[in-house]
Amino acid sequence: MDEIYEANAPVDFPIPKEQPTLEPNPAAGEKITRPVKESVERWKKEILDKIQFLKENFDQATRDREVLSQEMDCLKAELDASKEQAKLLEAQLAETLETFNNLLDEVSRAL
Amino acid sequence: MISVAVFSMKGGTGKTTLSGSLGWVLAQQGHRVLMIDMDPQGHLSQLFNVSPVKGQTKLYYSLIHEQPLADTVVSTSHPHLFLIPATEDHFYLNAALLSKPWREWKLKDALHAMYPFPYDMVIIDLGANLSLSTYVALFAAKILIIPVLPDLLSYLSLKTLFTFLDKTCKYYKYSFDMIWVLMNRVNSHRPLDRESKKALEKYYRRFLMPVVVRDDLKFSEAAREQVPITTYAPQSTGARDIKRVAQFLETIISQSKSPKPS
Repeated sequence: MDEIYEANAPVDFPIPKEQPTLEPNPAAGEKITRPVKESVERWKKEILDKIQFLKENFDQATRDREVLSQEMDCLKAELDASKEQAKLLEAQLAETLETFNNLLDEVSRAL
Repeated sequence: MISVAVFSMKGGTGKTTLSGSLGWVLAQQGHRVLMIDMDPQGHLSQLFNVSPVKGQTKLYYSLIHEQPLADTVVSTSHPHLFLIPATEDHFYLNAALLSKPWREWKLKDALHAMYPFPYDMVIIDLGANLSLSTYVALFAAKILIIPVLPDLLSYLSLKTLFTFLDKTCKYYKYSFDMIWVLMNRVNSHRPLDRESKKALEKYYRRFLMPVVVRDDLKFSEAAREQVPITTYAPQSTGARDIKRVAQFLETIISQSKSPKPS
């Protein structure tokens, strides 16, 4: 498979004016000097960026949780109020049913 | 003025996605960036969802009728990023340029006529074809970025492009400051990708950018949402790779600007 790459290797090269040589060729005895400090600085920046990103996400999540818990409290209060209302209505219904039954009794007695 | 053209003769190598994302990242880093959409398909303009406002001068009229290029510039959603959008007139640009003297240098001249130049960097996105407008765009750039996919056809296309560049530069007595081959959509888990990378490292070592853009679905998702990947998924592999490419460009440009040790 390598043959196809070799057979189609470039023949003509344009000559850019300021093309830097990035990596020396170790085969030609050139010393490789990697920009360690620069790499470390870059990694440091990347890690710090990531931490910042996660921190922002965490803060946003905390804010969202607070909003949601407030909404939950509201909903709970509404639920309690509704339960009270339901109890009241049940009592009223029972009372009405009793009145209705009494009336039915009276009607049957009269008949 | 630093002008960068993103071009490859093979289609689908990610020219528009890369140039759009790079422009956005460089703008985020505080550079004032002007992007020029020289692809008649206008995908870069669509990516940023911009078009000329009614009555605004279009690139075609600026190049053919020598109206100020500054009049063609449209703002984007980023305050530091500006775009000269593609319009339907781009289809007729080649035919109209044919009769013009010094036609190949029209864009370069138009950019130089903008004085004082209000941008730190110009990024030109080209279509995957060889036409007069390709020359116009290439000769306006000092740095050429060639996105290449890790496959055989891209590799073959690169050889053709290098031959073309060599002959064209000699014929027109033009030389770029730098030419960079940027591997795009790389998945190092695929043996064919590794093989292609090895071949590029062997035969294009001097031109191969030391950073690659890895394969990431987020690019497509971001394009669907019409936002750059660095905004859509800032911590994604693609976004991080684009930032690395931008950082590399910044470093290499600042090094070339700084005085050489005697």
